[in-house]
Amino acid sequence: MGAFLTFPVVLLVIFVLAVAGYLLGYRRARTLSEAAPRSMHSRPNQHGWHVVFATVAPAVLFIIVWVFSTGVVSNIYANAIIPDELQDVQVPLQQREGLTEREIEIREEVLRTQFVATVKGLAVAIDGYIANGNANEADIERWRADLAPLQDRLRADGQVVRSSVTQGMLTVAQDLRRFNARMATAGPLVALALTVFGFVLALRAISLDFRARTVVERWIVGFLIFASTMAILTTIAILSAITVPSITFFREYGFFNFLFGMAWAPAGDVAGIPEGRDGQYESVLGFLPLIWGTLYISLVALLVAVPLGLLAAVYLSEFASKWARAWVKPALEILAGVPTIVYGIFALITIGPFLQAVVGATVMPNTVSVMTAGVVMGMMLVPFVSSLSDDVINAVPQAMRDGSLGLGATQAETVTKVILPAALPGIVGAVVLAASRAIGETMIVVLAAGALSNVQGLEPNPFGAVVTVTTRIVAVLTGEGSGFDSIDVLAVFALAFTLFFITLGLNLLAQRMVAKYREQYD
Amino acid sequence: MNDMRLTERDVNTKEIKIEARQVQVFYGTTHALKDVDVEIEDKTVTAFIGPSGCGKSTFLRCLNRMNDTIDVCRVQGDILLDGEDIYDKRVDPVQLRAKVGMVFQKPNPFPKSIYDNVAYGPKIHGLARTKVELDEVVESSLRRAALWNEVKDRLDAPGTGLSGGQQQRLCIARAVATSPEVLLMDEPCSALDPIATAQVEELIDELRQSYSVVIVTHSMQQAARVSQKTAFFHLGNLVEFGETSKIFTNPEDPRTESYITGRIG
Repeated sequence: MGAFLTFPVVLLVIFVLAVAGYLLGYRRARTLSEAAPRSMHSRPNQHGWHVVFATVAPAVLFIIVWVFSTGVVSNIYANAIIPDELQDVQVPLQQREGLTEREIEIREEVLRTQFVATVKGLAVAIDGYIANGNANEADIERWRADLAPLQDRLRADGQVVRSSVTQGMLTVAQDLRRFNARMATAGPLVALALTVFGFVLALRAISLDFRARTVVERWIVGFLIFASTMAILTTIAILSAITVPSITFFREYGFFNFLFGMAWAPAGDVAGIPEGRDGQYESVLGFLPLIWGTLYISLVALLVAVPLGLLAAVYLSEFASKWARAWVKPALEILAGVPTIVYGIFALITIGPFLQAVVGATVMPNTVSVMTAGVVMGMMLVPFVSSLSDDVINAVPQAMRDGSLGLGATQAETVTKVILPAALPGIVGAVVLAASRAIGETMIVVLAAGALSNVQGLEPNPFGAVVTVTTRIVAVLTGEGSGFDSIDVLAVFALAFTLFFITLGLNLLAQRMVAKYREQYD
Repeated sequence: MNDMRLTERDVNTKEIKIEARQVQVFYGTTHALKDVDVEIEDKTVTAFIGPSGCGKSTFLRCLNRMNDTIDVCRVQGDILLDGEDIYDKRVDPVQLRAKVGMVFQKPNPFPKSIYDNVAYGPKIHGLARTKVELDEVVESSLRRAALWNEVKDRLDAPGTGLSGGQQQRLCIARAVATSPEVLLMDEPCSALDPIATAQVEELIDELRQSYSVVIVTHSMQQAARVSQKTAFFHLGNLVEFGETSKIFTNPEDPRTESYITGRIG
């Protein structure tokens, strides 16, 4: 029974019931309306749809909410069942020296978070181990972590286990697995009950007076609202996913230490970093060198993209013949569709060596540099800037052009003295949007900006290699460097968090500028 | 203002400013204007009247080659300004438009300050060498457009912030500031209320002292009030052209009579 009661099965049942519900509801309503012509409020097909919605909607909504919340609930459960005296979540005595009460508290909290993550991973690994047919539940019950190195056994089966398994972990993981199993049965059961309940209730509600159309319309409006809020909900989900680890990081490392730190050197890559208290290398995680790299490259990119894009837009909207416009505009827009990784390759193998040949190896020791990445990113942004600017320039009313030409101004004077000033707020908006894209751009900089894993200070040479915010996120999360639950990884979340707000701020700014521009001609 | 004044107008023969001979205009394959012959006199207000789509605005736009900006538009025949063909290859439309100014149907001030709107033409044509001269040009143009008293304290305010009637007078001031020889007005009052219309009409009458003014209008009363010569267009043909008083009191063509008495149009 338990094995069959899964969400896919329930979804299938919901689908069958929905189809049956439509047919049954339609038929019942038609019988009624034939018996009393013209006295029925809603048409038969509307009654049919009402049954469909009543059958599907509550159950599906429940499933969505359930799927999202089980993770959170099981997290809370895992946190609750960890015994406080468990060694894994205590700061060892020898490390407590010289730490204040508050620091110990913060460290224990981090340990706890990491422990929960490990336990969840272990639970998944055990599930996978059983699914591969290596053991059954009873075998697992007999496992003792202190007797045999469980991690080896699990790894031999291809399961991912991050650290050595302790008995404490195993106990908690087993408890968690039992809890998850109960949740996994309860969810589909409730969904099934909701479906059947809605199905029966809706079929019984069919009568001459029942306003099925009104109810169906309300459901439809509800779905429209749902669709339109989905993007916003996603943003909130992203934000909440990166906020918690970021705050943990800020609390442990210090917000201002991070924001104004002049060096980036995770402990995984030691090079001249002072030793920490416990004899290990301590990570130095300053934001400034990274954002410097990001902004430096973005600046170069904008210096390339804005003049080229703007001139292209002016040509397209004011000077190009119909024929030229019909060819050049789509061609530019195709450029916008080239994957950024392809631009990255182009930068790496063509632009980089070319620049190095031009300026010489003393100024430019590597082919990767600010200029390499910036120039290519600028090319990538040209169609972006030109397309947006073209739109705002075209939005300047023809009456402005006529007015200027009618006074005996040349086309060039008209463009520079009337059209561009009138379109300026919109153009600035386009530039800010381009800037926010440049700041968030990843693939080009990964390939062409440099891949140093630790940096000191700010690189002033435009032909020198730099490290950007996005490069570091990629490097750490794709497994280079240290372990996944270390402070270095938490720092990455803080990077993403900060980057999110910088681009958010820029986008808001752009939106306001564009809005301000629109007011003028409406 | 008063239709009865018509007959009192002086109708001395004046120097001919613009002469159009056998003008044909095509939009793609559509023959929009057929065989138009008109002589526009200096220091005179000439009105073009006719029902919508009769070609009067098209003809007006031929006079300063504004139709050049429309790709599919072709003009044949001769249009002579002071005896020179304006469609000749040697004529630069930019120079031509500095001589033949234009005021449009909808007020179209640039999104700049009032001062910069008026100074736009003088600046690009280099009509004022110093800031003081430019100030003088701006002031006198605004005075001629009867707008000076209303805006003299806020010359830095955006021109788009003025009322509709003020905007149109600003556009007239802008056109006057380039000191054109001919001023073309394409239904300059159609977006204005009666009071603003009266102000603009008064202004037109004053401008006649120094310019040749050509005005396209839908309002026959307006044509009767402001013009000395009237041309009636119908379905792309110039039906009748002559003294305004004669067109309105004793038209030769039955179509003109039908139009001014309100039976067609």
